[in-house]
Amino acid sequence: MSDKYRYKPEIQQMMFVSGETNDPPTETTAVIEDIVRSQVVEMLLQATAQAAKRGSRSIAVEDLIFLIRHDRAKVNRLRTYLSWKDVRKNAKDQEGGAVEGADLLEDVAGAAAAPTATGPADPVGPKMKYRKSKVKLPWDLTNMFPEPVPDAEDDDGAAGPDEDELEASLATLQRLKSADERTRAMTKEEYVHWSECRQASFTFRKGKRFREWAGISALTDSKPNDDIIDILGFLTFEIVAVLTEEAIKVKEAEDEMEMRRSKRTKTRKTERFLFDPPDEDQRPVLAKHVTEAFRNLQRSKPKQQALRNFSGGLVRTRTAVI
Amino acid sequence: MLAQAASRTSTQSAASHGVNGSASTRASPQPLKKTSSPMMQTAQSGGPAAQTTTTNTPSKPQRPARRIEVEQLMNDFRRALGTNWDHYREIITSFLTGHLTRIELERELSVILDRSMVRMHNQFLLASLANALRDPPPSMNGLPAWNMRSKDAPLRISKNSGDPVVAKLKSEIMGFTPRERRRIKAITRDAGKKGPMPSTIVLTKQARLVKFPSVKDKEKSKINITQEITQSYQAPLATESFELPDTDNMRTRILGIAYEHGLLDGIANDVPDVMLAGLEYHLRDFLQQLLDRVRPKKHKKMSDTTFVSLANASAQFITHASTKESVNTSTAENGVKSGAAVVNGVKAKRQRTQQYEDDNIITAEDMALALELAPHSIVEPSGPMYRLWDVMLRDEMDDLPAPSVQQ
Repeated sequence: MSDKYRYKPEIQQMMFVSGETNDPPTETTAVIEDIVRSQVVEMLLQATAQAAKRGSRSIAVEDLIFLIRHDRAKVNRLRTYLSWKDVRKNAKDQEGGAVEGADLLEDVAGAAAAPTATGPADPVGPKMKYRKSKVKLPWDLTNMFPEPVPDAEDDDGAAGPDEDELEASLATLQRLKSADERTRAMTKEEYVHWSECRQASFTFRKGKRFREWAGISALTDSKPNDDIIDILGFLTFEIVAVLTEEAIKVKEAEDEMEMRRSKRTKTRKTERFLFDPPDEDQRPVLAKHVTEAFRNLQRSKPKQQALRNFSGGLVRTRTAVI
Repeated sequence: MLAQAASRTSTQSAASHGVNGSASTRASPQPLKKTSSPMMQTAQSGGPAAQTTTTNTPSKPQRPARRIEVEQLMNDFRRALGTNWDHYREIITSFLTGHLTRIELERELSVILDRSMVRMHNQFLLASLANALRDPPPSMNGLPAWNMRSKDAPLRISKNSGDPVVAKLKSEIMGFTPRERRRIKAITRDAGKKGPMPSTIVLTKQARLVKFPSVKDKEKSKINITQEITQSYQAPLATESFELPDTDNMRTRILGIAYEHGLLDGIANDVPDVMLAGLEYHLRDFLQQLLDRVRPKKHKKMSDTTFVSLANASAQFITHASTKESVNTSTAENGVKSGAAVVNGVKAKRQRTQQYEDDNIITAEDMALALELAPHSIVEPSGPMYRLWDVMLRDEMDDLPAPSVQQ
């Protein structure tokens, strides 16, 4: 295959952020790039089909979110991401484009600390005259009624987040926690490096390149707008992160196996000496770990196969969006 | 003899007609007395262009009577009836199949037939009846002229073309129905190829045949291709060598199959690798499903690690030719397609399991159970699976029907 692998540095950065400390070999990044591309293609195809079911020719944001609707944590993160985008855009419009990034972040952080509905709460200063808009999910419970249901507001004492929300936020918190632990011991330069890597994206300012790489023109006849590309960028980051985490788990399981076997066969490793080369470097995540991780993620749930018990035949599966 | 035949036919006719006891058609009682004469007349007089054979030989009763030439009778009758022939035909057919009673037949026929034609009608019917009692005619077509409608086959006097063979051929061909003739004309070179659904036996035989492609241009040497195909058939299968195929083995087989099916350009270099990757994925998937079904949920956390560990344990029995992949990918290497290999692997594994602290053994029974539960994980049950199910030992008590509850 003579594919030129174009996203190696981005993927390396993303893997670094997701827990892989060693430099991954080219093979690994190549596999990840292939997987990401096939996932993007699959997502676009399914989203197009979804839009066609709606009767529209162009993909909307909701179509993409529909594909990942089962993963509440991711949906929430995505919505947060999109709302930040809105904030940035509106703020830029307000200030005429001469806003410093740092100021904006502070102000917005201040606004976010307040209750979520920024509309009724009196914004601090003229910059806050915008609303942090949340993407409405058509399949959500609140949208199933002919009357518009008011958002649950915290200061009303309305029902807090339900179990799913809790679980979803749990996953997010977990991720934050592990990131926190990793960065706890970093020096300033390391932390700068870390934050740069965190911003690695497939699509940020590279929309054209992304479109060409994914072959979007071949997939849909309508040109997806920038929102879609941003969402895809977010989702691809998530894919790489999930893949890396799974691959690390697979690698650790294998390493544990190796250790157990070596213990059983009584070849004791000699004690560690001071000038031994570090072990970790010799064991980056390999391509086979990544493929195994991908396979694990493509596992179908038992409920999807329950009705096929006792009967043979080919099970037609669709590639699952991670 | 003739009288006997006549009386036999007449009694037959009386018996067949006599359900309601009413007298048969006005026409028929007469020939009861006169059957002999009309038959003799037709036998001798015949008609124009008669080729009638003499009917009954009165002398030797042992010889089976020859059939009466009904065709000429019919043609004459038809000519006489003219346009009413179709109607007549329908009426007779309905009567003979039971749709009309004799009264209705009489009524209908009285409209069509006049006195002379009544006689011809009788002759025709009785001659047909007599023929029915004799041996079937040599030509199996029967009397095609009966079935033809007037407009389909206008009554023609056959021309005497000079060539007797052509005349005979023509008369034979015109003896077919138009539909038959159209069908014969429509037979082209590959008309019979798309038959009805061929049976599985035929399909299996066709699938097992080795297909050699026809090469159009000579630069792809045909010898090479056939050699490749035969080589691919000689490559050992996984069930024979008890190991997963390596790249070379895979390439040989894929190439042979590609050639057989007409892809004469061969295969790219990466194809065996992709195929092997797919095979490994499939096998791992199957093993994962197996473990999911067999292992209880409380060990779920262990299942991933033990999945890897079990695979490793069986790897010792089965060598993997490729040295690139580490031992752990030999997850897939127990020859899953051969239940025997798994059984071997599992048996030997048992000896080493005392070292494992958990009971993370899957046995052949587990595998049989999982396969029975979900044969779709390997798409279709195949030979080794049937063998696995057959060699399972069952408790006799399980097979007995449940005892009925006595009141």
